[in-house]
Amino acid sequence: MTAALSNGVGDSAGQAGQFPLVFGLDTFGDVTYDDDGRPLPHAQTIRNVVEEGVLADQVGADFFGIGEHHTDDFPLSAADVVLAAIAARTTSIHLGSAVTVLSSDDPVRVFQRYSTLNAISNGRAEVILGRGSSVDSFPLFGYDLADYEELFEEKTTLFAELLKGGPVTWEGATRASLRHQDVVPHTESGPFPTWIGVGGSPQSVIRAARHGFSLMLAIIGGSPARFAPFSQLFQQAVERFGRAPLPVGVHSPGHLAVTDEKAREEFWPHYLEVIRRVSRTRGFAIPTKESFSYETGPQGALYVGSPDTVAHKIAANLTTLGATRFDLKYGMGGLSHQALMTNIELYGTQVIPGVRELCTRQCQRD
Amino acid sequence: MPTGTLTVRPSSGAMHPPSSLSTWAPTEHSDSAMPDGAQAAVSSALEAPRETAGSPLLEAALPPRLQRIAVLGTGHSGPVIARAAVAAGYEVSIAASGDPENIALIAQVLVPGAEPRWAADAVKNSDIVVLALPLHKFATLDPTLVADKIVIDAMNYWPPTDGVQEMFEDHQRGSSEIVADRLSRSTIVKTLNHIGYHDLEDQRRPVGSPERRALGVAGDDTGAVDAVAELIERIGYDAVRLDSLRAGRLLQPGGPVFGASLCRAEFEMAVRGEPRGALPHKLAETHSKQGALR
Repeated sequence: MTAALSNGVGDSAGQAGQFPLVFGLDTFGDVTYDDDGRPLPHAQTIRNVVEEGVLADQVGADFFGIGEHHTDDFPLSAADVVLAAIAARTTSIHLGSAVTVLSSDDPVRVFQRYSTLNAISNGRAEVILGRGSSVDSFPLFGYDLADYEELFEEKTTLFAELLKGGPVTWEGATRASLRHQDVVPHTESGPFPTWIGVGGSPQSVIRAARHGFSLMLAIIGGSPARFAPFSQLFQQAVERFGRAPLPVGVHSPGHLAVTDEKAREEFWPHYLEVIRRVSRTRGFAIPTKESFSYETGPQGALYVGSPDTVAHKIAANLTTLGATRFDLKYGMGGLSHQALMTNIELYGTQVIPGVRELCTRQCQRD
Repeated sequence: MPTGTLTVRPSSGAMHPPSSLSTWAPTEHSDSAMPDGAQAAVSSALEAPRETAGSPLLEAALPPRLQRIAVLGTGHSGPVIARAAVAAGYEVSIAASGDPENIALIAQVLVPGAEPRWAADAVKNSDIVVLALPLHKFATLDPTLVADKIVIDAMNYWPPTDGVQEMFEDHQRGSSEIVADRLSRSTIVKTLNHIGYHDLEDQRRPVGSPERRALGVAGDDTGAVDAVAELIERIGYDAVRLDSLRAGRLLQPGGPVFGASLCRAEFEMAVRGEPRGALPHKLAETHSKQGALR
């Protein structure tokens, strides 16, 4: 699987015919709860995430990603350290951020940390750059949210330069300039895969294409089909910039259990509670049973259900979106570690083979 | 909440859209503060369709009275608003802060049928301008650019997501009132800010559909509010007119209708501060993500 994640290399089972199908698991490190419904300490939550990453490798997932957050309910602020621990205990799975909030970080340090992870893991590191779905890092590190666009534009440009390898010369307003600066550690075999996570900004789609980064569509609510134009925009922009084709991925939240009913029953109260909490700062409407039913149905963005239900939904949306990668954001504050382990196992042992089979059938029909 | 001062203007109701002719009666414009150019455009546009008053279908088939829309902004919401306006039969141009060449591909793929232009050209050849910029870019907008135009303010002030901006820190007033102060030669109408940019496309419904959602249209100028209400109706929503920009505070983040999917009756009750539990028909509140602007 190592070669499969780099651009255009490997067998070609994907819809586009150019890229292999890739299946990932992402977590924001949501604090897990014990059997009595009490939140576990941050340290235990982090050790649990390491176990989850190791299991993801064992059950055949292609990628394990950690989304950077800085809050009491999402204490995974140093994702690369956790990924390094997983790297030391695994051999196949790719490991990356989902996402790195580059706007409030230093591109040089991000490159150094993930290049180090790449060394530890024998070339299994990846980075997904983005603003992420939360903005807690901006005040923490002294950045103004109003500068978001400028910060992200400059820093992605510098990051693209760093990835090329060799001495970097760069000038900008958001960090100190660099003149023929050698940034270490060097990678062994060229740039590691880098993606830009996009939640709805066309300029971010164009930006990804311009820098030669792959596109990760973050679809967390509503109909996934409405992102299809973004996928087309990306493919056309890649062509316009004279680049070889690049893959498109989808990141969406979900939860697996042995039956649809069990998955929904486990997920719903925690989903309601978490969205209720974030709605105070982020303007989400508070979900209702009706909206939850829509989101978990065929038209919605939540992949909550039995392995069969979720596999069919993934296969359908990969086709609709012209995408060849799906990352399930598993977990939700309040669920138990055991429920998450079951989720990971079902994803690896049933959903991934299920989608592969459905997509192969689809390809044969075409 | 300024509910005490709110008047929801009677509208034509779902059976006689888009915007009934009665709301276009010339007398309603006589004491309006609308700029001369826009006034003239409304008056001339009034003449043709009068004989179709009894036929909503025929009326809907006619082109809109003010039909040229300039959308400023190519972020999350601008292309979606532009696409909805194209689908509703409007002549749409779209502009970012720079060279239209930079947004040509975005326009071509995401808004087929809309013309990418320099902002000044887009505005000059428009009847209605839509501000779909991130609010922190608003300070960079030259007020003379949109002078004498009807301007839809689709922006939101949402500090937890976008950061604190001194200009909008006056909590006694709505963000659109502050926008109106700065754009003193334009006629500001607040709408499209309280529906998620993705939902704007998904939740469009034809007139009379039981699923048709309502959107608020707030402004001080009756004629401008009516013109914008017609746009909203034609895009696929029931327009609930609020009779002042001040009342537009009800449409802001944290207000009773922000991000909520409500039919006309529910919407009107919500902005009046009445419980809507007694209504037989309720639209599901959807998980609309953020405001129109993220």
